Amino acid sequence: MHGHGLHVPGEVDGGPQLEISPGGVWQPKISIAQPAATCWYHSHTHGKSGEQTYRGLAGLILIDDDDTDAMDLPNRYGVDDLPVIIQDRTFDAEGRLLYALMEAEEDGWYGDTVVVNGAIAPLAKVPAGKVRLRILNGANARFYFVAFADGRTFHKIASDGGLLPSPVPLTSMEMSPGERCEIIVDMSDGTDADLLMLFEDLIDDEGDGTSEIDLSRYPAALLAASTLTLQVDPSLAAQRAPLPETLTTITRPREDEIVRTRDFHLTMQHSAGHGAQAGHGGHAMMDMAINGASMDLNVINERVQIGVWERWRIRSDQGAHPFHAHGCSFLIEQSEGEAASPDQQGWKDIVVLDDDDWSEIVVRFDHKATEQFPYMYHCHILEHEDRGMMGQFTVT
Amino acid sequence: MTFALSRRQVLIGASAMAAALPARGAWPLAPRPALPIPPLRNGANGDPIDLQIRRGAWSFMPGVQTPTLGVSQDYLAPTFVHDGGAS
Repeated sequence: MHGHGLHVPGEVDGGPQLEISPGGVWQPKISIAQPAATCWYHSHTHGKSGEQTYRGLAGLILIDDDDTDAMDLPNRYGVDDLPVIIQDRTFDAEGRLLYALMEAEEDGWYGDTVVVNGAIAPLAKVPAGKVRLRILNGANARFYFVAFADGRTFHKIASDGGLLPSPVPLTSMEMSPGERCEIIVDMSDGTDADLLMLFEDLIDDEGDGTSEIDLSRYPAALLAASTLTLQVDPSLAAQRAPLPETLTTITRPREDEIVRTRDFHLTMQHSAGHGAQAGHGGHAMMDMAINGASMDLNVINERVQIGVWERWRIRSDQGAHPFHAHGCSFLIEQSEGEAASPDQQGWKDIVVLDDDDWSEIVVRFDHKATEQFPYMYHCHILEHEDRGMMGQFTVT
Repeated sequence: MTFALSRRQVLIGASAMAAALPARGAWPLAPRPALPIPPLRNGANGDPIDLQIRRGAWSFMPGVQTPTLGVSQDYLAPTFVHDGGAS
């Protein structure tokens, strides 16, 4: 069980070396000292992360700190500070969850029904003021397009690893699997707001990222069932204070502080070499890779020095992937060859990359991860991870 | 209704999307479920928190029980809150 986004040592990171066997007990003592953020935890069992997370093994970790406590941000959990875990699931005729790792399409396992915190098209009563949504794309594989049906502006205040420098006004955003966004939506006009969580693959079907899209072409029944409605309840006490203009300060490393560069190539078609055969105790076929190697619990792929800045460059041989590294937050320098947009200029632990150009991050690890309990870097499409698109690294 | 789309940032046109949504009477689910809010567990005071990974049954659809996994509940897991981060 991995604490995604936590800055903790490898021995309590909950990676695949720390599998909990049936009937077994894991008793980590986890000390959390990092800026306020919305993190999460989920299954990270070798070869089974996708299936176990799909069936329900995921939850949120909310970290507050003195700065966020002192800010006028909505913080009443379940009232004006709502967890929003977006997933997609497919059910068979008996209502059972359908999942089969090796029957997944190359983009991963796509469910056909959006569920939010386990509910289909739910409704939440909220005060007539500012409402904070802590949105997690907890899907195994889908990228989501998130917007309000009335096109209203909202403010993104935090990314994976914590607050943005200042609130960023948006009318929509994309979220990759594993990504978190905290947004503030103003409900003070008293009208309901429908949050749409749409399959990015149905919208951007050209995949070229520039097409004009037409929501009236989105399947109407799916659109209605992909909605979280925020319904104003005037009896609830409202938080109407203006948003802080400044949220935090982010200091990027100077160029001369970056001690080395590492490149990571994610490959969908890995047929030769170690790990290509079915193995690892009956786990799935390992046919995807990073830097020519499929995940192997007995191999340390990278060795990183503690406390120094590195630049990591990541790209793929095919398609878009969300790349995640354990034990850190990093800063995006560019994503798919383009400079990070303002809402991506905060601390992150996932960066999207593709086959057109490099995504680049600067990263520093401040906790140890030993050979016995290394950190992981991997594609957060869980079917890709389970099929080997993952590596292990130490920090010493 | 059209959008200009870029991969990481999407710009919506000024026009609202409400017309794209079916009338409320057309919702496929009635009544609509309340948004489930996972229970909180406070992890900041150092006391141990016991969690159990277990099988469960969860009703995604009215009247249908779906076999699931959960952490100390039928589906998903409690929300940890840690009010002791260090900025």
